[in-house]
Amino acid sequence: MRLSERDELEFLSRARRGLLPSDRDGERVLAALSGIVALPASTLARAAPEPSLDLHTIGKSLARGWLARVAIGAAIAAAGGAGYHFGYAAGRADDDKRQTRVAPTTAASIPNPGPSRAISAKTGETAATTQTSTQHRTTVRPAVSALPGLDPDLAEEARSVARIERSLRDENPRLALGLLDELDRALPSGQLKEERQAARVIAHCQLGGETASTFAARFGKQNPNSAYLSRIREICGPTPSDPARSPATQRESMATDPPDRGDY
Amino acid sequence: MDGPLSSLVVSPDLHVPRSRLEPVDFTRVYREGFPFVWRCLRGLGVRDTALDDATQDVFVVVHRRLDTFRGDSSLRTWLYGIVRNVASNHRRRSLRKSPTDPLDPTLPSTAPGPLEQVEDAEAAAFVQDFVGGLDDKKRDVFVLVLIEELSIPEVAEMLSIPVNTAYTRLRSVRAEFRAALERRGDE
Repeated sequence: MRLSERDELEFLSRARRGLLPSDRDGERVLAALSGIVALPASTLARAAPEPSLDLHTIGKSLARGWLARVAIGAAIAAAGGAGYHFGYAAGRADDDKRQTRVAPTTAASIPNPGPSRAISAKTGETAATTQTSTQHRTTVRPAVSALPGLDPDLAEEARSVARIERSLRDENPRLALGLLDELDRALPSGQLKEERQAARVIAHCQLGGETASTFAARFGKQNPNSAYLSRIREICGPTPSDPARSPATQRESMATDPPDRGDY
Repeated sequence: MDGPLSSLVVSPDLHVPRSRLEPVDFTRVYREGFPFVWRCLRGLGVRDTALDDATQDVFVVVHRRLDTFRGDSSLRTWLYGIVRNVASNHRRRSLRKSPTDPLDPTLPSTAPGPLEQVEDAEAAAFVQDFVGGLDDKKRDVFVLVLIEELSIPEVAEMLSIPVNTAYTRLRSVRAEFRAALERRGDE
């Protein structure tokens, strides 16, 4: 029997769901663990396991309302959710633009499967889960055709940006830059260009190279309203285009900026 | 999971350098790492009947060694190292068990519930059987890339192998998996 790649990925997606624990699993193991090691009271009080970045469970988390800043929001937005990119997008000025570049009408075409929905970037499959236990889970998966507007490239790009974000949070800028290079090769004309640029700037700042501030300044000039600027300033320090800097300092810095090639 | 395990979740305080964060504590590791640990253990061949024990073992080690975690690697990389050792021990232990051990009560073929639930569980069981036949090198790549969906550069770093080696292992194990899946379809 000859299988398509889609069949294979669909099977793996099912296996991933089948391998996940439930909240009950987490509570049971924790209870047993508390009899073996001395756990802080806070662990027992609030250690209900959080879901992994598995796209299947991201939707579940979004439904709980605590993952509003997760980078993969771009893909969720494709299913009609309020997506945010790369962590810091709350309040960004161009939110409307980003939500219109995916098919907003798809939301109406998707039957509400319950409290959660997630998208597999590779298969375009959606899934919803009320519980993730192997024994107790109830799963509803709308047909792939229910998402005619889903852009698999955008979902893949969002997933990659989430990985890059993780590596930055782990203060592993070299890995982040490697992932960015890989993403640039795989999807040179992606839709999360600003997120990629911001990540690259932050990675350079974490590396502490001499050009980092130049990159940060260039990003600030090209994206003066970017929601990522505050984070970049926090990590990289004030950029030459900051209003807080004196005009003289700005002029001086602008004069020393390298030609704007748009690359980082 | 991510997160620190890192999987995971992007919270505002994680946007600042780690040096400005409060130290990673056990609560956080458990809360964010449990799904990652659980699924990796299953992916690495720990039987469902031993899963609770294996997960406990992992977090006992985490509890004991957390203060030695210095952040040289990501927390997830550190955690995966523990998971791998625990899974290896449990696999060896299960090989010594009597073949007359009772059947795994979670075998999907008898699990009641909606069709998709059964399909997910069957797919999980198939994957567990498949990885059980792999050598350690391929098993790591299979679990981290195809189950945990980490990128190749990330996995190469976690396993301390060149990126090209990771790609080679992935191609090889994926071909094996495809063949196994096709054989399953023929049965």
